[in-house]
Amino acid sequence: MRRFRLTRLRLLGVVVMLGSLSFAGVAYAASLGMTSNKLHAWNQTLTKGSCSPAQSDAEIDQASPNTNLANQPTETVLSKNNANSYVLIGFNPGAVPCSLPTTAGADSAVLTITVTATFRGPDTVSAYPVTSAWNASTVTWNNMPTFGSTPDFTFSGAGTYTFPVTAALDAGIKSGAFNGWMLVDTTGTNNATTTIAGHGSTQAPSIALSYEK
Amino acid sequence: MKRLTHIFGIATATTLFTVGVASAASLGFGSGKLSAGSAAVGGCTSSALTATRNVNNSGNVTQVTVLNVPQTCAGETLAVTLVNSAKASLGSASTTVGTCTGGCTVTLTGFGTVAASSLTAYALSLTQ
Repeated sequence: MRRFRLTRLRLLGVVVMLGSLSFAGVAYAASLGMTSNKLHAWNQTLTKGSCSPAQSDAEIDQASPNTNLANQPTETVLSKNNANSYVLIGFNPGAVPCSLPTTAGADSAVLTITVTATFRGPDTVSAYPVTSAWNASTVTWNNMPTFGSTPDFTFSGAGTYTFPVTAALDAGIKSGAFNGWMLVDTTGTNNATTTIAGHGSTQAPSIALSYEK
Repeated sequence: MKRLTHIFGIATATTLFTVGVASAASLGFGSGKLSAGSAAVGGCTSSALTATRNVNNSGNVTQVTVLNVPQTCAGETLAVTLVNSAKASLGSASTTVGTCTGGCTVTLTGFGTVAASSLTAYALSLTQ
């Protein structure tokens, strides 16, 4: 067997070869962005589902400003001089049966409202987003919650109506406090009424909610 | 003998380079796809942060918010990819984490038109 002699030329060859390979490796790693960067990567898997949030409603009357009319079979929106009536409808996606956390979100939400009767008019009823908390069993005209100035939807006349309310429900889920809508007669015909099927009815307002969490 | 040495050197270099490429390819970089579970390699946090998204009335994603990003992550690039049930990308966006006090809330937009109902997972990364 011949002995391998490490000559100066051979040593130089090995050094040049290793240097070249090292340089090529670093260049390739750099193209992947891994020379100095630190990477933290993770996945978050979502659970999909559907439910109908717990619902409540109440009629508040200017003529009886301290009277609470919660969860009746019917609730009436009335336009009358100094004796208006509004209707509050609320949903709680954080309560049973939905029980959604604030990190959840609405994929789609469709509200169904049934108007069982109208008198005079029919007037237009505007649904304003309620911006402060209220409780169906204690709310009255005198302690009504605040509400926005731009309606989310409107309707007029008897019938069953559906409205997409995905953005409102999504925001309400994330805030942990969805306050629903205030229904107000915005036409103003004196003594015009619009009667809504309420919580005590089989046609109570409802939301078909598809969610992620 | 000198020729034999040269041949040996070239063969060694070729072999080593081929091994390097094969190794990189086995990580999935060759095809442009990255498969990552939850892996921390240094960086500003090792926690899995929580993302939520907002939608419009049509049910399309308008923005994604990543909650409680540690302030030590300021200056890092946060990337979010929206993933469907087939593990395909529906859209992605990235932004630089700004400075903040306590846990940062980082908002990303520009995912295109993505139906929230198609979204089944978020793939997130923080890069220094």
